[in-house]
Amino acid sequence: MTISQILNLGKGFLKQKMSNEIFYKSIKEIRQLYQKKEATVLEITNLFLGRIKNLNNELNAFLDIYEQDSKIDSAKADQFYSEGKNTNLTGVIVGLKDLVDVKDKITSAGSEILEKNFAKNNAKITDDFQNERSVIIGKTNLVEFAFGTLGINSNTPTCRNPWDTNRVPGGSSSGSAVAVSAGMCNVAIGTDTGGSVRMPASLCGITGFKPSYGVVSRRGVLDLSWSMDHVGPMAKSAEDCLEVMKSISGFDINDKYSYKSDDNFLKKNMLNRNEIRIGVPKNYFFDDIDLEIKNTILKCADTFSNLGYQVEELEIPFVEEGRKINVGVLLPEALSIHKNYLKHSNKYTKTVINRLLGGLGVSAEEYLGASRKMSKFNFEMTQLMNNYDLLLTPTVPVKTPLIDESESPNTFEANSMGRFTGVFNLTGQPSISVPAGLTNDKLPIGLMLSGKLMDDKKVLDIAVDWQQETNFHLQNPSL
Amino acid sequence: MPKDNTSKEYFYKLLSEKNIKLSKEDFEQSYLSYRNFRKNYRDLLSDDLTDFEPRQRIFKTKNE
Repeated sequence: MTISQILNLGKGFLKQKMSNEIFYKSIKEIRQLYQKKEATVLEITNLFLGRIKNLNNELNAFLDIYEQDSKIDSAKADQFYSEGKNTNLTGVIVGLKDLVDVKDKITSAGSEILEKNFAKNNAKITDDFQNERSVIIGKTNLVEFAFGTLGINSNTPTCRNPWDTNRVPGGSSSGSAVAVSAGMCNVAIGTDTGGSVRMPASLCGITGFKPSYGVVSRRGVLDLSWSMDHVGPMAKSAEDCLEVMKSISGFDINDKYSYKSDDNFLKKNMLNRNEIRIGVPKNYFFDDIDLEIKNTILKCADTFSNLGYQVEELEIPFVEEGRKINVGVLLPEALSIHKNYLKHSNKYTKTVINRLLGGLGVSAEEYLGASRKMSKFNFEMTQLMNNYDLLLTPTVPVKTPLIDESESPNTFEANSMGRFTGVFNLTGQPSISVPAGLTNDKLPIGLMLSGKLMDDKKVLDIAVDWQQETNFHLQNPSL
Repeated sequence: MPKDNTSKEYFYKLLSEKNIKLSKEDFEQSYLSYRNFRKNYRDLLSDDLTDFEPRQRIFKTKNE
């Protein structure tokens, strides 16, 4: 940016530029900057590119930075504004998990096996962002093939939690969570097969939304498990997740897993707190968990009650089996998807190949049995949800582990991390992780709110309401 | 499928069928994942599930 350009900027913008404030603006605030001509998209993009250059060497949130392409995208967005047009996400800075195809760019999935895998076409969501004139600034780091909970991948530079760089960011959408948390993009896209949007969102102190199964198209996004995969937004706030959902949701005839949903993300609904029933499960979700996390989440339940929501305790006897069924269906599907890659078994990271091979030898009868068990579980959950609008739980049961202690695929934390989130991949219910405070060690704690299947907008509306009454989501790491 | 499909020998046979060669350390870690996963399956499949179609998520229930 030239000096004359800087001098021409509004005083407010200059002040924000000098601090970190500009990197944590909401989508609505960014849009206002453009509409009031206080900044151009190119200027904002350059600021984010500079931020990424400053921080990425340490945090390794991005695997690939699209410096030239993002400037071209910015120019298109500025042209759009100059013609008096704009859309919901025009000029918004976006990071895509490196499972999402961008035409002529590599989709590596964080794997050596796919290091030269150039995408022939855009993913459907990439098209959505480009049609909105958003700025895709790069591809974010991830666990190899999105198959892991802690966010560690020995193939890629180590992705670090911005709140404590000696600790894991959570996975598998590690880079997307770190990029948002560190203010390296406005929003990012993650995928969630057992919690991979919500777990890193929880550990990095941001908001991560897993929509209902099939509500966001997975066309052009590499599969891990066709029954459990979801694509979702990660942002500082639920309001920003909602803004992204307005643009990326909807039936896609070219995605065989896409569902037609009546839910309308554009519609403004009145939220009557006293008509919303929130269930707090007494069993499973509060068993064998870190005490600080437990107390924080129970305090959140009290806050919801004080805000006027109907909050009730309940027992969910069948839920204990949820994570087991999730893994029981996921692992044979992952092995099937990987059957052509397995001949390169020496090219996998140890963590992933060791977990993946755990699913060898599953018979058709067993897989069908697990798939029927999934249906039984989902039937029971549907009946339960007839009485509740939302379930309130912690996102993860354990504190954020150190990177040095997270190399084995079978650590207690690696095996425990997805215990709660995986339940809602099985059922396909919409589920969001929102910041709920910090531990004594100043590490983020996540609160998970999960709604009825295909009732995504209500979950987001309640999360937005929560964030209007609290300020946990406004806390940022010191960088 | 043999009764004892959780043994190291059986797991080694499964790897051999797919021409997968692992270091000793990787074999031990993978076997640990395999054994945990088999236990998972044993716990899951004890019910009679014939009333349910596989992978169903949407149901009509009486309150709807």
